[in-house]
Amino acid sequence: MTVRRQLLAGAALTMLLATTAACGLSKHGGGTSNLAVWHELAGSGNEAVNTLVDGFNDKHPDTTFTTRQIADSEVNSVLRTGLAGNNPPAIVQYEGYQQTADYAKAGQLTDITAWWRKHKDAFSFADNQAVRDACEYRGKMYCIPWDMYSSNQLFYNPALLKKYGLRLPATTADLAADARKLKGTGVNTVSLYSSEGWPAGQWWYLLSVQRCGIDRVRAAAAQHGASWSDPCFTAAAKDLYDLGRAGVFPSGVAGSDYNAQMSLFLSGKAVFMNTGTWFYQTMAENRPSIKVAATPFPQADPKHPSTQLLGGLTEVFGIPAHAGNKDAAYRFLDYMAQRRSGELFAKASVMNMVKGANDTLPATLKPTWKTVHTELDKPGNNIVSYFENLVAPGVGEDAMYNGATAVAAGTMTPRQFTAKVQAAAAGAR
Amino acid sequence: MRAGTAPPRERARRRTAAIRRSRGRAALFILPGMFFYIGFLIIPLVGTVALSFTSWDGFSYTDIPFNGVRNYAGLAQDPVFWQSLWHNAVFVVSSVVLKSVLALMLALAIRRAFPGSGAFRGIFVIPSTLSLVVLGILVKFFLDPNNGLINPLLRAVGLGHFAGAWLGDPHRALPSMILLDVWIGFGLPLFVFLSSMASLPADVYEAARVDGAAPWQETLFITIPMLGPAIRLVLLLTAIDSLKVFATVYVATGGGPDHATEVLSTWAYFQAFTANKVGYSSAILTVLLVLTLILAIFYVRANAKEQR
Repeated sequence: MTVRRQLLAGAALTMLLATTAACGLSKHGGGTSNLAVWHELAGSGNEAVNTLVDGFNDKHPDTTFTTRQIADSEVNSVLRTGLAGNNPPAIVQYEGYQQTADYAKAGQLTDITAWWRKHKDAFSFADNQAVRDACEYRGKMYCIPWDMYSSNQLFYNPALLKKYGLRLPATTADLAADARKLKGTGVNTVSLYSSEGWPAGQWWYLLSVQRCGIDRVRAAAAQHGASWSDPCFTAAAKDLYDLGRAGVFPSGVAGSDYNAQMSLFLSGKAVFMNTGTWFYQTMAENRPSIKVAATPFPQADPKHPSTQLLGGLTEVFGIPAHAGNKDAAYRFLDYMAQRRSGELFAKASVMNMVKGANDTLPATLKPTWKTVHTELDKPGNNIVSYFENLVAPGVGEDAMYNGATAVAAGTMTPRQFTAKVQAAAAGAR
Repeated sequence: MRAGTAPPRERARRRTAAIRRSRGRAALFILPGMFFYIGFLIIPLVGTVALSFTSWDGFSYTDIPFNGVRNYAGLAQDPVFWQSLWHNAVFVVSSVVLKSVLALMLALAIRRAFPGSGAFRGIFVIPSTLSLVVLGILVKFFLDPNNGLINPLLRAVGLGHFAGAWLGDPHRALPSMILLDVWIGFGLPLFVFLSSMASLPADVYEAARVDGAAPWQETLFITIPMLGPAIRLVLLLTAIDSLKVFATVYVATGGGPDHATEVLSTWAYFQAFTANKVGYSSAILTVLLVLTLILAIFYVRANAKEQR
């Protein structure tokens, strides 16, 4: 009898532990509240989401949304587990494009095509394929294209430019000339650290857009009518390789990360730095001690200048297919489609796709929006997203990231690189 | 009636009841442990092996397609997998040798109490108490080619020709990660050796001294042979520890540059959470599991032979 009682007590204790563990998991997983907005925006973007949610809650006293900010490094695993589980949030922010295809294909996103048709007039360039690409899968819309970033600029330190008698580089050859002038000064020409892969990847993307044009990039991504080992992509890789050989980048490009890249530039140890317009957000959040300006990304071939842009709508919002309260989720999207919602993000130094929102962009970012606006206004494809968004992860986040970094560091030849990317793309089909 | 005066059958019955009670108590204490052991070790392990025969992308729990041994066939064709396996092997051999030799040498040096010996022991074990993620970030900072601390230090002491990109150089990155692993992990073997040395019989040493053995002979012919079981334990633990290295590599290099520090665990992580190939990732982890099991079996068999 005593033994049985002890066994029962043991079993009860085990059940208690199991329940506690389960409750703990649920609570920390952030899945207890169905009416949640999960997102990965940091800093002022996070504040904008919080203000957006607070504004919605004030307008809808019967509904209370909460937010959950997920760290950038964890977002892939957390989001996927959350969507596949039985208790996903009502609204989810993710990076669009390939992720839209992956989630939609797995049946994890709600088809919001009907909602989009009804509300698309509230968004800028809603019918432009470059905009739709972020959220469209097999002709249906699964999210709203929200924030736009572009990378066709070179940030620079005007004080260093003046001190060393440099001129703004119109071409990549000018960058190499600047590197020669800076030799032995202890100041680097361009700050580039790429242990994550994407910073060097963007250099190759930008040069590829110039050398190949967007239609060819899209064709190579689709592996239909073009290949990543086509001469123009190899020429773009050679441009990058030559810049590295000319001493434009610091030594050890692969040895540190984007934070070190920013730190090198902001500490006055590099004259130029290429990155996306998210850097305006970084500077707005932490005012740098140096003056920073921006100039268009230099041309690789001045005889055939390109105005096409590299950029993407890498912040999109959708409704998980298994979200509990879809009415509330749709009401939230309705609220997002209002100009003042978009303005929250524009004020936080992000180009927002809600019509009119970008009137409130900081003055430093308005010229970029004007350029983006001009290119979106033209017929055809004039903006292409970051290539990793167009291809399978094994192609973009492995072959392209690692290869472009190795090319910039001089440890891989351009031909080896493009052959490797093409092999990965062919294998991923 | 007292127990001692009870008839044999009654005594046997009481003994059986006592054994049952003690088993019940044991079960009471074991159950919670078993719950966690089964829930957080056995089930995930079995699940990982099962998933390795699927092409699951991790997006939906209702769609887990079985694909036979295709993932394993894929591994055979995957150059990064072989590269990672090779790195794991290099990592294990170098790390095990360096950790064991370093720990043994230090243990021999500080086994006898001297002023400050306690502090030394404490200092040596500090790295193994620190968060691996924090250490990964710190090493990245120290070895940064432009803003780091190591290169200026090398230049300051006249070793400037050794300065370089460290984690960005494909030839230096893996050795750097191995040295980091050794630095983090030699504290535990050191303590194993120190505690084993403390329990060695003093009379053997006295007899050796009477026979005129020099200190180096004592070390070589008495201490080291008698540390046999401890050395085997250290070899196994450090080998398993190095085989499953993840956090420091993931944080410091992410497996780069261009897979130069890729190990099975980081490649499995990439496949699962970036490439959306959970089934393939599980196959990589199953290989890692098998390698770990082989090491464990070696140890258990060697230990059993020793005890016989």
